[in-house]
Amino acid sequence: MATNRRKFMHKMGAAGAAIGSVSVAGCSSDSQTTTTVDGGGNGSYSRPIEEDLPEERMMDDVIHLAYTEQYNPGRYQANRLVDQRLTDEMGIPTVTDPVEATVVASREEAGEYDMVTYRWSANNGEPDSIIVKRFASDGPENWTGFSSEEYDEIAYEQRQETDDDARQELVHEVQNIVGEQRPENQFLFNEYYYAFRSDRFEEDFVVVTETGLRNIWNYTQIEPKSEEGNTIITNNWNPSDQLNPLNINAIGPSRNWVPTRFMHDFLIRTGPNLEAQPWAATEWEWEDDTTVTFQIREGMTFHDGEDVTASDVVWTYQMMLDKEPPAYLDNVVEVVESVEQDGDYTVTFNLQDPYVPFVKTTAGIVPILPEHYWTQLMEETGTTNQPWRITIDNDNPVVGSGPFQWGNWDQGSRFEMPSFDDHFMAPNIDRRIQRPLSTPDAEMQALINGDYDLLDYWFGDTQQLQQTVGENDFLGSVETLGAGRQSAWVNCQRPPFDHVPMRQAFNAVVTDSQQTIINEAFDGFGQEAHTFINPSLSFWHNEETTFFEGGIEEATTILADAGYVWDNDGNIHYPEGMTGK
Amino acid sequence: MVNKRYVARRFALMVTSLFIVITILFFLFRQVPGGPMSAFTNPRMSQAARQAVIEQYGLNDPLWRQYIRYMVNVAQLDFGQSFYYGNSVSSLITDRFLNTMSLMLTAFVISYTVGTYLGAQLGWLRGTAKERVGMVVVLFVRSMPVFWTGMVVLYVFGFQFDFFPIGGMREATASYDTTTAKFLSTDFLYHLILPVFTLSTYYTGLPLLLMRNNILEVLSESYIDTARAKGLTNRRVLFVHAARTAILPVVTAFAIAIGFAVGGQVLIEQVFSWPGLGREMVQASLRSDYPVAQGAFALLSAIVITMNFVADLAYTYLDPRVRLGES
Repeated sequence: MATNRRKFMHKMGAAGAAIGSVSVAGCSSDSQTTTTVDGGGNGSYSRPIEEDLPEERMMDDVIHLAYTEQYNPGRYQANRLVDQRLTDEMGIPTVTDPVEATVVASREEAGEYDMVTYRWSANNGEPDSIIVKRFASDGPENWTGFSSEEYDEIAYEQRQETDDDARQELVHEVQNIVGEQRPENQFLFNEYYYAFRSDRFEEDFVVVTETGLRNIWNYTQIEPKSEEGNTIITNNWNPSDQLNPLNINAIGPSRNWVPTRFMHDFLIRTGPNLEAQPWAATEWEWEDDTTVTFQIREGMTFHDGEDVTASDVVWTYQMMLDKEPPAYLDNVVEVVESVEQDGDYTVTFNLQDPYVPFVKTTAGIVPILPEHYWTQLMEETGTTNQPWRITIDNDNPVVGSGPFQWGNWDQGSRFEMPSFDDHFMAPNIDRRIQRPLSTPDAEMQALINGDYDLLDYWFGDTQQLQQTVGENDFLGSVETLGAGRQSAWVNCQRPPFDHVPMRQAFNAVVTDSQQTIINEAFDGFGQEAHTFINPSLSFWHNEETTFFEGGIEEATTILADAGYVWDNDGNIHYPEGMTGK
Repeated sequence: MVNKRYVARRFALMVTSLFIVITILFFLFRQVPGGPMSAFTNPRMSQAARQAVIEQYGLNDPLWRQYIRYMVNVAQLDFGQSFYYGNSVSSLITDRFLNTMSLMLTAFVISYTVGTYLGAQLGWLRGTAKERVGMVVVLFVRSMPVFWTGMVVLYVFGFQFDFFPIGGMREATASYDTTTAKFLSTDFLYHLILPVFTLSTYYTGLPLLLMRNNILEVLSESYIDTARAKGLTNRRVLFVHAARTAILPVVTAFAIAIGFAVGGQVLIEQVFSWPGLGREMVQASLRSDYPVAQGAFALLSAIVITMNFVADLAYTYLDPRVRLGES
């Protein structure tokens, strides 16, 4: 990384130095002149210049709220590149403001930023979680403040459209609206690299999805080649800290979400291509736009031997409707009107409003809990009103019906999950043990030494890992395109990004920087990105989404056309009649 | 002899100090930007869910009410429930405390035993070539950052030669049913060797230098001349007459070190992937997990304050001239 970093900083320096000479080319009006800027390798372009501009039109600092370099070096370097280009080449004074991860969310929600960068993905492969929540005017996660009546209308229409092809058109359309108005500007779609012990597993059976190797399809299908391969020891993100499936922390962060999902069953699961696949439900059918019926698979049992029936499914959802766990407010409480059982293996949901994403974002996320176990647990612990506060540990373990079951949890150190042989997708391995080490170097060495069988996560230098795999013929690797995108969201509620041309110009600069960002900041692991739906969601991704090309020249043209001018020192000023914050 | 009134007064002072420390901790952590909800790192947590969790933990109450509730609970030794882990702070801290103390106590006992002995020897050998070489070695080792030593030791013995495990407290496949079995297994002791070696190497310097300096002072006392004049062996003069006096400041240093041991050695815990209280304290502070951060720092303060008190009491036994609380 050190070498790359030096190269990267060198390129940044070159980019900064590229704003060569500035020369006055001619007069176009009484007070305005046009200046030709030598854009280095980007040719030359013109920008309007005015003298004696009032101070209130001068653009004040654009605050780029960012994660620290330590948190994510690649992202930080990408931020610095874009900020430097905006400042040096566009005259937009941009300040990178790195803060601890804990502060980013609170400042973003309070609107204390001009742009903010991080990675975000669609919930369980369902685009609605972005379309409505992030960009609808009343979306609960619309922190940019983006607002468009046309957008809102289509966004709400798509979540009611049960015909896939018709819905696809609508989803493509909203991507275009956001693409045109640019509240979000994608840096890249990240690609990831994962390593495993190829001497212990049949490579043809390794299943890679958008989450890499840590997916249930891989863990149930991977075929051991040797005795060591029967136990998969892996790093996990961090030690798991919360495994109560009703707790909000158990279904969010990956360190908890992965084991929680492995131990439970869901009505459906998203498949390797993020499509809804039958799981505990063998089929489902929309009876009308608010009623959907699921047929439960027969012969399933919980880890304690009790049968899984429609009664458990109904109890799980009804309990959530009654107790309202914070983790399931969005997906269950605000969505489901009632749930009914018809015989032992049929469940019907009546929804409050038409909501097509229900299949993935509710049925694919709510774990089926054993009624007999949880009622007993709630009574014994005296936690009947807030069951998400029950401490799940070796004394009160998880009892689910998933392909893996509770083994032993040494909190902070390791968590062991033996496979559940009676499952309809019983794993070929005997157990999975997650045991994080605190540095990527130690993790890589553990893989070489044979202490690890595969790396579920890799936060170290990807090139170093690639080199290690190349040097050791007992190691194999897979690459995958993640489901999210790394983006900069802008604050549409205050200057300068409350003005659409400024957002479009910003997009032109970002687009022009993407290849450098991918190659230098992310070691070549990424794809150019122009929309908020990742190509992993191939059915929904609109590769024709509007975006702005042409780099600094195009950005300058967009801004000049909108009335922005520059002073003799190269500082940008707002159009007449507009002022800063 | 220990004056009972003095002990009672010191005890009251200890409780007051703790009360002040806990109060400061309560308000201090609430000044950290980010807020407690940052403990919930689920990026998809909605505003409604966030509000529900805030109310669940009583964080919507006025600060003074939260403070009173917290102090009442602490008085009953209830440090609350971790925002991050969801389980009780007491059980979490107990778990991490055992991990840390098993590492730090072992390292301190080794380093203070070896350091005291070698310090006495170096003091006795003052002016000789052995002393000069010894001092250079001690200062060299002492000046190496402990995390760096740890990384070198890990690289050589873990990465290169594969003699020792590269992290953690136990083998990944090992599973123990009881706490005793966890800490008495050979597996655990095997994992303990490298971090304890690293820490002991570093910590030996302080008692060693302290002991050496004290020995130098004591050796000029007339009672040492008397002991020598009586014809006692060098060994007896050093360890029975000189060392017993010289060891007093080392006892104080040891007591205070034990107090700080609770905080662990964050960097060493990080290098050796040791799930100790030090890392947990840092993480809890970063996550604004107030209950864990407050509980851990309160424990640290309580032990430092208590160990200072214990050191004072220990003086009366080690040095009969000391009479606590008497004018």
